[in-house]
Amino acid sequence: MNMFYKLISKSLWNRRTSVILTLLSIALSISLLAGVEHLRREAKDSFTKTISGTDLIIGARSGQVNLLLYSVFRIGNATNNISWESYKDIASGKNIKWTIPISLGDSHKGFRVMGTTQDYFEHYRYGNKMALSFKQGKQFQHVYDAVLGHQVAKELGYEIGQKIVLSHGLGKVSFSKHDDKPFEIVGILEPTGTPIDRTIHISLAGIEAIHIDWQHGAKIPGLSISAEDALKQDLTPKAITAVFVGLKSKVATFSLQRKINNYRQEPLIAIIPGIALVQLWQILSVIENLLLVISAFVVLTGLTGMITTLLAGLNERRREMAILRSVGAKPFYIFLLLMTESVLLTVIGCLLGIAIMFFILTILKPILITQYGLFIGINPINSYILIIIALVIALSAILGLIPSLIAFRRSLKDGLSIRN
Amino acid sequence: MTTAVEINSLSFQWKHTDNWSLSVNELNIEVGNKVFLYGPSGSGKTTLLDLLTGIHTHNKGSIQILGKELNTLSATQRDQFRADHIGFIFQQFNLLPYLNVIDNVLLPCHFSKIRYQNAKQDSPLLETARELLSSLGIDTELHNKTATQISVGQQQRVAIARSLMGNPEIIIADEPTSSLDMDARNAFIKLLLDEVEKTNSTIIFVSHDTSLASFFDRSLSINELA
Ligand SMILES: Nc1ncnc2c1ncn2[C@@H]1O[C@H](COP(=O)(O)OP(=O)(O)O)[C@@H](O)[C@H]1O
Ligand SMILES: [Mg+2]
Repeated sequence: MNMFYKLISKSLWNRRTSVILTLLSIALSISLLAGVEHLRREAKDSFTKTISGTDLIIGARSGQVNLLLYSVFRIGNATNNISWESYKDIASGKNIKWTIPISLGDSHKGFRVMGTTQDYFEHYRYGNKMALSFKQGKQFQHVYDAVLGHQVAKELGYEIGQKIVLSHGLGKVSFSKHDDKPFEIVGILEPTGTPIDRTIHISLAGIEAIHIDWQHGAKIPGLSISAEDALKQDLTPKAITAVFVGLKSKVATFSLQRKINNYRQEPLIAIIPGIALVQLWQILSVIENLLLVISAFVVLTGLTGMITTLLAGLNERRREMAILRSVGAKPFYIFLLLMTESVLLTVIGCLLGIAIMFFILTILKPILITQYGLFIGINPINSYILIIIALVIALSAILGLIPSLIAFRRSLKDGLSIRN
Repeated sequence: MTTAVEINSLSFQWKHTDNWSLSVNELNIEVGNKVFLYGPSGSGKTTLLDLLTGIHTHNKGSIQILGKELNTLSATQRDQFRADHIGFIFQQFNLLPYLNVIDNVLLPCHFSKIRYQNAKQDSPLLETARELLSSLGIDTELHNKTATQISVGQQQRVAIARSLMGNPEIIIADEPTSSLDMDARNAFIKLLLDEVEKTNSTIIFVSHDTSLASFFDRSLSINELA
C-alpha cells in the first residue's frame, strides 16, 4: 500500500472509536438528507403520474383535495354520492367525449374494490398517457367478474379463475362479507406504479348486485337474494361515487367545470386533476421543504462535528506530526494528510449514508404503498443524490481547511521539537 | 573531503524575547566525526540542532551543512535537504504508534528519493530494513509489532535503525538515552556508534550527562562555543 494512504488508514484505525462515531453521524445525516430529497422527488413523480388524460373529475360537493384523494389515490372516503340521473345528464352533454363512472366503498383484504364500466379500460390514462394493459386474462364481462391490479394479485397470490369474496366497508378485517356472491378473477393488469395496482375492479352492476339485499350498510334482516336471483333484477346503479370525464375540446374545460359547480339538481364539484394535484402538492411541499431545510442543517451539524473531532485530535497528534516532519514530511504533506482525512471520512460517511437510506427505503416502501399509495423507487443513485454528495464533499473540503491549515502552521512553528 | 558542519559567527534570538540568545563563534565538524555536545538543560542544545538542520533560520552568521549554506535555501528546499541528508533520534516517543516497526523504519525512504535509492542499492528495501533491525538486536518477530507493543529500549533501537535507513550523512541524536537506565544506555550508545561507523556517517549526540563523553571522538560544551 502507498505510504500516504497507509499513514491515513492506520492513523484513523488507531483513533477508531471517535472515527466510527464521526462516520455514523455523517452517514445518518446524509441518509436523512438524501432520503428526504429522494422521497420528495419520488413522491412528486408518483403523484403526477397517477392520472393523465382526464379533463375533469366530478364528485359530490366536498373539497377539491378530498375528491382527488378518494377518486384517484383511494385515500379517505366520499362524503356523498352522485345520483345516476345526474351522471346520465352530465354524460350526455355535447362536449363530452367519454365518461368513466366509479363506485367505491367495498374492499377485499384491505384492497379497495372499485365498480366501474368497461370504458375505464379503454379511456383511463396514467403516467405519460399510458393505457391500462392486461398481464393475464381480459376485462370483466359478467356481473360477478373481477379484474385485479398487479399488486393485489401479487400480494395475495391470486390467479385467473379463482373466486374471491368482497367485504362491505374498507377495514382490513371486515365482519360483514358479501359471501353469498363470490366473484371470479378474469383479468390481472400490468403494473402501473399507481394506486390502480392495489385496486380490484368490478362492474357497476356487480356493485349493485352485492348490495341488493343491503340497506344503510347492513343486510336487510330476513331478506336474502341469491347471486342467481340478483341477476334477474334491474342492476342499474342508483348512485355512483365519482366520474372521470374526457372532453372533445380542452377549451371547454373551465366552462363545464363552472356549470357543474353550479349544478342545480344536486351539489357537485368538478376538479381539473392537474390543478388539484398541484394544490395537493403545495400543501405537502411546505412540510417537505421544511424537512429538507432541517436535514440540510443536520448534515452541516454532522460535518461540523467531524471538524470538531479532528481539531480536538490535533493536540494529541502533535507528536505524530513532529515525527513525520523529522522523517522528512513537509508541512504541505501534513496539510494534505489532514485534508484527505476529512474528505475521506466524508466520502465513506456518504457511502454509508446512502446504504442506510437504501436499507430504510426498502423497509419503508411497502408501508408507503399500502398506507399512502405512494410508489417509491428505491434506486437512490440519481443525479440529484450525486449532486448532494458532491456538495457535501465540497463542503467537507472547505471545512477541512480549518484543521489542515492549523496543522500546517503548527508544524512550521513546532518543527521537530517534541516538547510538551 | 567536505566538512559536515561549518558555523561562523552565528547568533540567534527567539522572536519576541531578548533575555536569551545563542551564539556560536566558530564550529567545524568533519565528515565521520563523532561529536558529543553537552550543556545544562535550557542552555540551547536543541535550539542549536534546530538551526543546524534548518528547522529554524538564524538571524546572523553562516551555517554550512555538507557545503550548503542553509540561508540560501527556501523553506521547502531546506525540508528536502534535511530529509535527504539527516537522520534523527529523539529523547523518546520516536515512533508512530500506529505503524509497525518495519513501516516506521521505512518512513524516511518515503520522503527522500536519495535515501530510498541508497537503501535498496545492495539488497531489496525490506531486506535492508530487516538486516539493520537485526544488527540492532530487534528480532524478526518484533518487526510486525506496533511501536506501543515493544519496550522503550527497543523503541530507541528502532529509532536508530530508522535514522540510519538510506545512509544519511549526518545523524542527530537529541538526548536519546535520557529515557533509558544505565546499562541500557551504554549498550545503546555502543550499538549506535558501531552502526554509524559502518557507514562513516557523522553523528552529533546531545546530552546533559557528561559521563557519556568518553564514547566519542570529540566533546563540545555549548557554553564554550560562543
Ligand atoms: N519555540 C521557542 N520559542 C521561544 N523560546 C524557546 C523556544 N524553544 C525553546 N525556547 C527557549 O530557548 C532556550 C533553549 O532551549 P533548548 O534549546 O530547548 O535547551 P536545551 O535543549 O539545551 O535544554 C530555553 O530558554 C527555552 O525556553
Ligand atoms: Mg533539548
